[in-house]
Amino acid sequence: MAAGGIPAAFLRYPWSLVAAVNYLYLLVLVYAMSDRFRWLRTLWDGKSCITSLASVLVMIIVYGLVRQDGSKDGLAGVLGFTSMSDSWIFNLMLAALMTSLGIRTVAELGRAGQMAGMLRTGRITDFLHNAARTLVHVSVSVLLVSGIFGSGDKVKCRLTARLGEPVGMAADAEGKAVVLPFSVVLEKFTVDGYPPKLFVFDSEEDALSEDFLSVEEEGVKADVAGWFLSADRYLDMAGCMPGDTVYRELEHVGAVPAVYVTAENLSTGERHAGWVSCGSRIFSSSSLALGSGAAVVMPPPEARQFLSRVSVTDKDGNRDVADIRVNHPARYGAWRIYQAGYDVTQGRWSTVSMLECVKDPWYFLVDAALWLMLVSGALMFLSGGVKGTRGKTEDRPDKNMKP
Amino acid sequence: MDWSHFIFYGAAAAICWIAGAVAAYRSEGVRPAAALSLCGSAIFLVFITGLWISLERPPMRTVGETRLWYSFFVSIAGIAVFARWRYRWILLFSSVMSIVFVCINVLKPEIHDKTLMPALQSVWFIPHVSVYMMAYALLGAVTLFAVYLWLRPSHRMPSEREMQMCDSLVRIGWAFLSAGMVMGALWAKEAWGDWWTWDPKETWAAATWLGYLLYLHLRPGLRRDSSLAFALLVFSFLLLQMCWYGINYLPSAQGASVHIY
Repeated sequence: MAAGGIPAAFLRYPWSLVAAVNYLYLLVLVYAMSDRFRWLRTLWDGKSCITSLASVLVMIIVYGLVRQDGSKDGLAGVLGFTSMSDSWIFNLMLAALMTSLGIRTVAELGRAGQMAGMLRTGRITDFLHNAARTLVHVSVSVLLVSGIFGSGDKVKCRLTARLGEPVGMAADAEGKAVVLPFSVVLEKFTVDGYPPKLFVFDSEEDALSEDFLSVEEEGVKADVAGWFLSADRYLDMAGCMPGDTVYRELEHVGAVPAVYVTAENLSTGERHAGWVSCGSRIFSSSSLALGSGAAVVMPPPEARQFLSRVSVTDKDGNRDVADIRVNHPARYGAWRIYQAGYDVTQGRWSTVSMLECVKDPWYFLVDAALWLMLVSGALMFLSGGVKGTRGKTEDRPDKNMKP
Repeated sequence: MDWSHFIFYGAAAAICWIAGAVAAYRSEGVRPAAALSLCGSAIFLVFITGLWISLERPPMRTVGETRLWYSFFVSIAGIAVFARWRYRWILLFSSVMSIVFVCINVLKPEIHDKTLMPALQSVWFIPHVSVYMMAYALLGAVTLFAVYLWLRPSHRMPSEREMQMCDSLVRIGWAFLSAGMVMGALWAKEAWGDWWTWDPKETWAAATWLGYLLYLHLRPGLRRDSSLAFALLVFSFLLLQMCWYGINYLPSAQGASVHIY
């Protein structure tokens, strides 16, 4: 029972919601009955709190130490520690912590009247301290409840959008097809790149130099691995025709950045000059040989940002156009569409964009809990970390906790 | 402003910090020591700002860059604790700690280029990293204080006031730690659709957060047994270091974390 994993999507709507609501009801019930049945206090007293916290801490340290590759080998694999987030042991301990914390949260909320009294009598520090503690308990409880009960409701799938072609199907992490309630058409894809960099490559060490010359404009110079590099000409979009050795400006699919560079050895004065380019699917790369296995090379420029302009059409024919960038997903109903990648082999000429579609019905609850936790952190800071006068008794829930 | 100027700014800041620490012992008032130390922190901040401008991005991307913020925030935390609780030795401790990190950056310089991958171009980048560095600085300061109280030559039992200072620093440090985690979760949701993915960095961040949370919950029951409280603080700081840079060397995290840099 304790070994192995919990099946994915253990709880799904509507059962996830039914289970969460009943669980919260039970928490309130346990708190309300704790005076009559003293043994119920063992679920949320100080010892329970410390034990569940320490148990989860130990499990998380094991989580961090064991490689999470899902292997079944060895003791860690048999106990399910190689896939810890699905393991029964870990989830049972989290559930114990969630229960202890949940009942404690109900108790904290039951003291809202006392906190209002602190505010009325001008005990601001006490109020801030108590409010911070209550908000932390509430927010972490909500995060744990929504994390555990809502995990089965989340849908995450990836699609590959090609320029001008509608896509209505995606695939989840296990490769299963997911039918989307809308279709996506990639209207435009652009990559904004950083300036190209020139490195000295040492073929004996098979390594690039640590220093480099960032070619932001013509005329830039730098000392790189014992060579003085000077970018005499810089073409942002260029091409080199077959049989030619010179790069020329070219506005065409597959055009590449190219730099005419002069390299002078800092100790011997030896000089080399020539074109260097990272190449593309159309044009091959060029490097400048420096002798002794060294060469000036240009890796493909790194992307500063990439953007997909997509049109999203639902089953009723309603159409929306949105720009999607990393950190800026598009929202469509309960779905969010994220920029996940593109065809890096084509670089700025990519006509393909990888998008990730995520449906998370518990989004707003988690979002609200996180903001609440930020507020509680601010309150804790404002109260100067000073423990409120009432905290001495409130930290021992087994002694006169209830108002 | 580039990395080659760091040694000059670092040296000037170190001189001010040491002068502040000496002034804390020599003068009766708080102001001379605090002013000198603040002067050191200001010089350090000038370098960070200059580097920020020249890199055209916040210097928060590499471990070396986060060490800059750590030195800065440790010095600020030291000054704040000195001003609040008047412990003379804290300025010496925070100065030594800041200078150690300055020396590491001088001896192990890193190439700082202007590129910032798209995922790092978020409104959460600067607050997330700076809040975490502030938390690390505060929790580093409280660890030093705990070790001092635990192992001081006089073997005197820590006073209630000293333990309250420990608790207050942990509370504020933990509040910053929580804020850093929350900002990370909000950022992660915007970047790739998950609040939390149990990436090794996140796993160790959770362990660190729980370690200090355990301390906060255990403390009321450990009023006489301060050794266990100090041991837990030292252990939690080990977890913190695993989270900060330890995962870069941890075999189980290799190739499994997007946070290894």
